[in-house]
Amino acid sequence: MGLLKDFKYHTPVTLKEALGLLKKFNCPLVLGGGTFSLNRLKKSTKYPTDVIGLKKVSALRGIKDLKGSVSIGAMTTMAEICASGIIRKNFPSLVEACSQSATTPIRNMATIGGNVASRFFWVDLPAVLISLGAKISIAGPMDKRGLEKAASVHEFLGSKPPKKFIITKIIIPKSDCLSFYFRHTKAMPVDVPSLALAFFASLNKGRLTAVVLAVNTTVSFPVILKEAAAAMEGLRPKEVSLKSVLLALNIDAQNLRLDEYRLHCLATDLESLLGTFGTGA
Amino acid sequence: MKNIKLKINNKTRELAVRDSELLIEMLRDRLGLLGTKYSCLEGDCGVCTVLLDGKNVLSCLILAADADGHEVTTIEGIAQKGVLHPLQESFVKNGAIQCGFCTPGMILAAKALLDKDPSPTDGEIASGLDGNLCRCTGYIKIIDAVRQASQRLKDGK
Amino acid sequence: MENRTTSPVGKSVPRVDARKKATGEAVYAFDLNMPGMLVGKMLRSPHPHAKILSIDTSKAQNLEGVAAVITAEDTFKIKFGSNEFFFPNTVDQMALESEKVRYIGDEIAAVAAVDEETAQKALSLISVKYEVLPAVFDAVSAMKPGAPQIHNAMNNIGVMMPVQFGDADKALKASDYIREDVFVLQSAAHCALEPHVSLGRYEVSGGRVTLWTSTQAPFKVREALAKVLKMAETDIRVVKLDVGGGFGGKLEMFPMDFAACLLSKKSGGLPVKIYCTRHEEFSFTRRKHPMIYKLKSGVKRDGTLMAITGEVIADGGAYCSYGPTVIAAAIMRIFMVYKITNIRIMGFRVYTNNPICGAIRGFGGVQSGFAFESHMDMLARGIGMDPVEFRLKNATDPDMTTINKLILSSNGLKDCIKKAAEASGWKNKYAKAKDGSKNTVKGIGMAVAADVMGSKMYKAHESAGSIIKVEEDGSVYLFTGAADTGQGSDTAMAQIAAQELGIAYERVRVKAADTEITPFDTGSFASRVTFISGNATKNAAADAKRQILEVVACELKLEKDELDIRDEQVVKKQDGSVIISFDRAIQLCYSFNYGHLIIGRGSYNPKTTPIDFRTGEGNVSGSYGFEAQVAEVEVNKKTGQVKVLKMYDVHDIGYPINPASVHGQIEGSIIMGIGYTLYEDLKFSEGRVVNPSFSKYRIPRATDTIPIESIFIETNDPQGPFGAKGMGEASLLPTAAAIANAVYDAIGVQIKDLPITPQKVLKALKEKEAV
Repeated sequence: MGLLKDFKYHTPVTLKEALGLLKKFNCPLVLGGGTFSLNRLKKSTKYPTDVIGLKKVSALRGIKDLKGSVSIGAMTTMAEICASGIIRKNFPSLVEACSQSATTPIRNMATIGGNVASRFFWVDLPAVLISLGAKISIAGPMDKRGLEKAASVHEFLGSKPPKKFIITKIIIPKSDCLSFYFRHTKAMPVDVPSLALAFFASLNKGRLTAVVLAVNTTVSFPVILKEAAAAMEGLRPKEVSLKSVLLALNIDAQNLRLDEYRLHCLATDLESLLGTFGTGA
Repeated sequence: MKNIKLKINNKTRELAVRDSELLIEMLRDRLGLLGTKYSCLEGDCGVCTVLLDGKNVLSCLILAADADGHEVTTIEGIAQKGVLHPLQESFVKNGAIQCGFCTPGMILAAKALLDKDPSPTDGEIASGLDGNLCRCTGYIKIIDAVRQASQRLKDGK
Repeated sequence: MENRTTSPVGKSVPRVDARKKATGEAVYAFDLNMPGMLVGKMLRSPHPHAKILSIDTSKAQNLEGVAAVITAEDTFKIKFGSNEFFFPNTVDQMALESEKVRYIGDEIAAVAAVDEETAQKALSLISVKYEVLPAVFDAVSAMKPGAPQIHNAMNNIGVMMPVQFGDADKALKASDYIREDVFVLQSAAHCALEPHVSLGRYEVSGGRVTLWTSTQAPFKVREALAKVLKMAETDIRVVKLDVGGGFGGKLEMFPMDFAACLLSKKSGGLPVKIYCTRHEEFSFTRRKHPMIYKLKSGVKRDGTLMAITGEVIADGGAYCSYGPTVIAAAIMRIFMVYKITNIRIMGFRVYTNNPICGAIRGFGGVQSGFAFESHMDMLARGIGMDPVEFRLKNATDPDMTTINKLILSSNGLKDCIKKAAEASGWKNKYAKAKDGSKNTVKGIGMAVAADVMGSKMYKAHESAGSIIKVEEDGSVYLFTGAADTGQGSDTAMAQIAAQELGIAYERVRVKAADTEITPFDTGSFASRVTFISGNATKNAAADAKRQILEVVACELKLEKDELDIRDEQVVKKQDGSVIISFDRAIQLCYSFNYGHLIIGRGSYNPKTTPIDFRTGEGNVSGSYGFEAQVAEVEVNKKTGQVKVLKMYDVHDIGYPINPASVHGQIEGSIIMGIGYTLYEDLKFSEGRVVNPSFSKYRIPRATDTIPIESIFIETNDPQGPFGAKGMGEASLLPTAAAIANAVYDAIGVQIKDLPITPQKVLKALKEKEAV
């Protein structure tokens, strides 16, 4: 059918090879799972002459249970994340986010690295990764001796990306934590694509600390609800007052480009979240 | 062009494919396997579903070159020596096929599900088929068919 | 033959085409590839309204790899329309426009080239100069004086449908309770999974053309092609292969059908294939008419429906397509359902510079179902009457003739209503006090509908024909014009043929919907196939049987009228004693005298009187189907989300030829209806579809399916083949109102515009609290 115009496809087997190709070509497209890139390419007017596919780079795969963290290869698919015992044990909210993302075949193909590297507003994983304090390892063609830089997902999305880069892994610190994920698309298909709230908190002597509330707004990069999180900080879960959290949300909302309905959805999410704490109103 | 070696419907094949050739194009245009359909070409509808190493994926979003070294199963590879797979039989018997355009992809997605989980609940069947649109049936008879096929497979028939 | 299913009518036999679809062997139009085949593409207007000042195709024609380029200058510039017979003034579209474009997507040229890339490049090399004109994008504005003039119709009103009987004003004055409501319905897309495809091949030597296309109506396509190409119908062959769904979106000739044929001619006879991407399907094919209903009706305290007045304004888009039938059906279905004698409704089908609205499952009946059935519930509540009782009081009766002369010979509507109420436990669930402390509340709602099953709204006749050919070994070919697009007509026809002929279903092979080989049939729409084509098939089978029995009687010196064929045997009617086997009988036929080939033929034209659209009178259909639906919903007051828990559908289908197929159509319709009620919404901005993909225009997925209890009422229609009426659209008609009425029962607010989104529910709840 000739759905895609011609390009040269490169399939490196090592990261070094991939970085070498990245350096060599002017504006290559880096292809992970392909669910975003190949779709966009079909409609694109700006066509790359060279595409670098990462499917054969084994160094980008695998989930490693390290001492204080878990390392997820960037080419790990969402389905693999859902099936991983290590991730289910340590980061149930990430499993929830992956399992609710898109559909079964897409989850078999789409990668965690691609989800972050795409830098789209409407993708599912950045908010939950931010809430978990995840860092990404990025390698670029100019790095000597293949050194990889680490950056938090939040920093990566908040700043201008390097011109050429490959995300190699996502590292999530382990902790004794509560984490939840609320997403709207599957429940309410109309007009609320991928609006999602990701919650994380550590428990220190039964009190919530390091509370993070990150929101996939779909109209911007994920936003952190600082005031709403502060309204929970230091309290026992059952002591958290919905009223004060919602008041704090109103303050945070001034930084959110969300309409009344989506703010309402966030408020109901927060109410559901507090419901999991067993709190009253 | 890329030279690739892969298994297609249990047969090892060596093929030369264009760099930018999609898996769906390789299957339909190069190999004449027309059972895999196209509809949206954007990953939303599931009619281009094939199995890649047993998992259901969308052939409109995979480069043919990336199938190198893997195993691809299309709807043509489901029946064995002219004998329909229990899923195919069940779809036929239960009225789960109307226009038939979603059927190849739907059967393959169901097979991937049952190969992974031989005893899914109706809810798990529906989730497993969430990537395959059907506009005709309302999915009810499709879920019935998958449920019955899973029973038959467990009973060893 | 392994299986021998005799007397197959009434049994859920596996479909004749199910196995090939399960193995991927079914051939759809896009699967056809031919040597030398070219890729065709359409050039479409980027403007919603503009004059075409000039088209220069020279650069495109000279591009290496381009075989042909066509514009209106290559055509006879003959207009076509889909409702020509009764509405000649709606013949308003050209295959390729030459003077004006009227919507974003209007076709003005086409190219054929060696591959996709070249065809795309050729399109970009066609230079078109436009003079952009002001455009109008909603029906109400389009009707106002001073609005941009799209065609020659005054106030852009393409079709006016005045429906008036009795004295509505007098009846309103005599009413005890009157209410006025406005209902708004959105546009929607068919979303058949197989996109439109046209493959044309012109035979230069004979001047004949073959078109393989994904269509519901090959004979309609042929008719239109013959008109615009100025060719005899016998020189045009339109072939329907397996079709991946139609739902009304493939019911007419499209410019790409025409272009594929003409491009092939200009390319010296090379085949040309044109297909639509999903984006083009959403943006440039057909869609549902958005409508606004303003209704004012009155009832007596005892529940008698006194009068209905109002108007319906439908946005028809840039051309008429099936607009007249849609606007007629959007009003006149009310007569099938309720005993109404005082009515005055004016329908307007208005041109706008939006993409074309056409037939979509229900033909205006979905819109009218929502508006009228919501309105009826509100009238019932206004007098404190249970909506079930209200409907029973006013429902039409069997064997009645309505005010507009519909003859409802078999009519199970009241039984449907009673049964639906019983099956759903209505009495124990409706208008029950709700627990105000809970976030989620349940509700129950009912709506009813009726559908034409053998209607005549397009031509003076609505004939269908079938031919049955019995082979030497006793196997049987059935040639039918009926177009199976997935609804199962091939199977139903095979069952009817086998039943009438007295043989096993497995003997019958169906060849359908090829204008060169099969008899005429207007197509698969308006749920007409089982009734009309089924009767033609039954007549053909009866003719074949008669021929066989004549030979047997002559050979064996028996009385022909005493014989029958049952269970594959020729038997004596009186006692069922076997004379000879069917196979032996066929051998006798072949060797009889000079050989007597058994070729049965049959046709059927329903006994109707076409609607006189000046008065609205006419028994439009040979048969009518009826149903009642009950929806159980759960509304989350916090999120506004409406969840349909279960649907009950009780349907007067006459008699089910294939129960599984009928249930399948009902289930598919209801799920489609839930999509339309809760989230499907084709959105526009300045004439452009803004959500032309499955990710942005959401249709139900497997995870959206719900339990459906589907019950048949068998009224055994006297005209229907074996009592069957048919099924295709009807279960889509009441779904939206059933859900909206259930939402009212749950939370006390009636949502009057679709889709029922969480935002609307929350807003309505907020407004209710403020009161």
